[in-house]
Amino acid sequence: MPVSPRSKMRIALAGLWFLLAGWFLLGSSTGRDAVLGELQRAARVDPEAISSEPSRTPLTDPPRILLGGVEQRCSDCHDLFSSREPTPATLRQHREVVLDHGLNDRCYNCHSNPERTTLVLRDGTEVPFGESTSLCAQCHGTVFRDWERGMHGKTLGSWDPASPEFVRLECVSCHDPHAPAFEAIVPLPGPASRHAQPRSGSER
Amino acid sequence: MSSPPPDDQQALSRRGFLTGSAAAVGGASAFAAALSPLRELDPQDLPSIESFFQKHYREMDAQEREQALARIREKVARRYEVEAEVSDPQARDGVEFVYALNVSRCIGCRKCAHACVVENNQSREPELQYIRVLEMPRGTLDVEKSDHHYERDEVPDPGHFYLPVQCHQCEDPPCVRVCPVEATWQEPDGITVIDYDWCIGCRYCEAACPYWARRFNYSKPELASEDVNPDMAYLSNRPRPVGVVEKCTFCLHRTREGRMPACLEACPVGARKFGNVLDPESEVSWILRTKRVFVLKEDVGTLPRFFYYFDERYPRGGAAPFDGGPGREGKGEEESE
Ligand code: HEC
Ligand code: HEC
Ligand code: HEC
Ligand code: HEC
Repeated sequence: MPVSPRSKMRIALAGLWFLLAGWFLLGSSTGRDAVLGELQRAARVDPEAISSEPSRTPLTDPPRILLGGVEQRCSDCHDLFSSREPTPATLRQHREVVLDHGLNDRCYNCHSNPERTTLVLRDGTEVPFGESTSLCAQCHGTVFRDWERGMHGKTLGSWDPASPEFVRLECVSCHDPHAPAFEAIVPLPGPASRHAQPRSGSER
Repeated sequence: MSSPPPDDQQALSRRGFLTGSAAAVGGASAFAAALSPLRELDPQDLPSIESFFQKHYREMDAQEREQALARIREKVARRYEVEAEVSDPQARDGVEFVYALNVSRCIGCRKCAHACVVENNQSREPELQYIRVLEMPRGTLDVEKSDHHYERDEVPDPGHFYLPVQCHQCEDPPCVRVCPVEATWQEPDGITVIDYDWCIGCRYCEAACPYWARRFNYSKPELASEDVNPDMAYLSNRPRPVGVVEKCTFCLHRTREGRMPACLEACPVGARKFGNVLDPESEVSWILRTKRVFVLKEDVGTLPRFFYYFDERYPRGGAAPFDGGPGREGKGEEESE
């Protein structure tokens, strides 16, 4: 059967069409993968890294510890003896000293019990009043770290750490150790200049 | 009318005479009015021959500078009867000044602004201040939403935070670029200064500054003798004349000698930090390395040397409920009026 040029053309077109369809079906996906591979594919992270599990396991009640490979309750031992009871005494003197220092509510946290002319650190080391900053540093480590670098508190005299005039204010130059929060203060008067009038309500 | 109509020639010259004399009188009075400010001129303010021919600061040689300082000393003595110590400290090698301000600590007390006025011999009448303490509603860093006229019985206000603004001593200062007479420039230690004797008062710099840090002396700055700070420098706090622009110079008469700026010393909460950013152990270097630092209006691209930073903090009893910030429907909007 003679095939007319017209039909040849049709067959060729149909063939091309099938080829294209086949390529879209099979080939294109690999092509897409290749393209995506070059572009940014989301980074794969270790599921551990995004786990919602807490990083450490707190004690549960009743608390137990491993001692010599044996799990023991606290009461196993602590029922056998009693610890010193630290009760705060009511003051008859120094009544003007009102502690507003949060949980830090014991005079002897800071003042030495036997030697009243000094302050005391947690390990019992006595420090003179002139070095009270080391006292604060025990409980306010991060602020102290900032203070050491001049990022908290204030430096007077010179901006040059190498200068003899360079003085960093101690904590108690700004904070009352008994009630360390900063009091709100009355602001000084605002600007009066005629070129800086307050904006009217509609203007904003 | 019985008399003959006057001929054209005559009528014209009479009218011409009238208009001519009116114009002459008008012109003369306009001229007099234009010159009238001269009546208020204090002969003291007239420049001497030497000061009239004084060169630009940067073109003076050592001797001419000495003479210029001596003239300032004389003028201060004449006008205020004060023995001034007029110095001309130069930028130090290896020093680039940077300021850092702790937004978490600032309580908006405005002590800095007032200490600055006292230190820098600013005009008291009319008032002129370099530092603006902006009260910002929580939820925005948009200075358009700020208020610097806040009046409160106590600061800080729990619903706001405070953002003091002064010259940011930009690394790419637009104020310097627009000055048509090069009366303002950046010094090697980063401080942008003004030669008040060279400033023509066009106020281009004031308009170019994105931080509203420059101030113009619209009228003669008034400063009482007892208010004069005798510790002066040519490029910073010597008394300024009317018609010139002035600005914060990081107190260069103090800081170039190693001292702290006056605003820092007055800050009761230690929110202000100053130092040499080229020294890795300086306070500002530590802040830039370790704190969450930002600059104001970063998008204008002037590279300020004035940084703000935050500390983590949660004030006991001081926290106010957050109302969503300005620009949102909420009761905070009405409150902040
Ligand atoms: C093996 C016995 C034993 C167990 C179990 C035990 N403790 Fe102790 N604990 C002691 C002894 C003994 C001391 C006091 C001696 C000393 O200072 O070392 C002590 C001291 C302490 C102290 C210091 C206070 C003081 O009285 O001087 C604390 C706090 C404490 N124990 C808490 C716990 C807790 C919490 C647990 C449970 C998780 C626990 N202990 C379990 C024996 C034990
Ligand atoms: C024994 C530990 C301890 C010592 C020592 C200590 N503090 Fe504190 N401090 C605390 C605790 C706990 C708080 C938290 C209070 C709260 O928020 O309830 C606190 C809070 C503060 C606050 C924040 C107060 C507020 O309300 O915002 C300041 C400021 C402060 N302390 C300063 C100091 C200074 C200065 C010293 C040294 C004189 C010092 N502290 C010594 C434990 C301590
Ligand atoms: C956070 C540590 C701390 C605590 C807790 C503390 N003090 Fe003090 N206290 C100090 C320091 C530091 C000074 C020195 C203050 C100074 O240099 O201005 C001081 C000074 C004093 C003074 C003399 C100056 C003054 O303020 O009156 C008295 C009295 C005093 N404390 C009594 C007490 C009493 C009583 C208590 C318990 C109710 C107490 N303190 C709790 C740290 C503390
Ligand atoms: C220039 C004064 C100044 C000095 C010096 C200073 N502080 Fe502060 N400190 C402040 C101010 C202001 C606050 C803000 C507290 C407030 O608003 O109540 C503050 C806050 C704190 C807080 C509360 C936590 C926080 O981040 O807001 C602690 C803790 C503290 N200071 C500890 C110290 C210690 C410890 C030292 C010494 C190593 C010290 N401060 C030195 C001014 C000072």
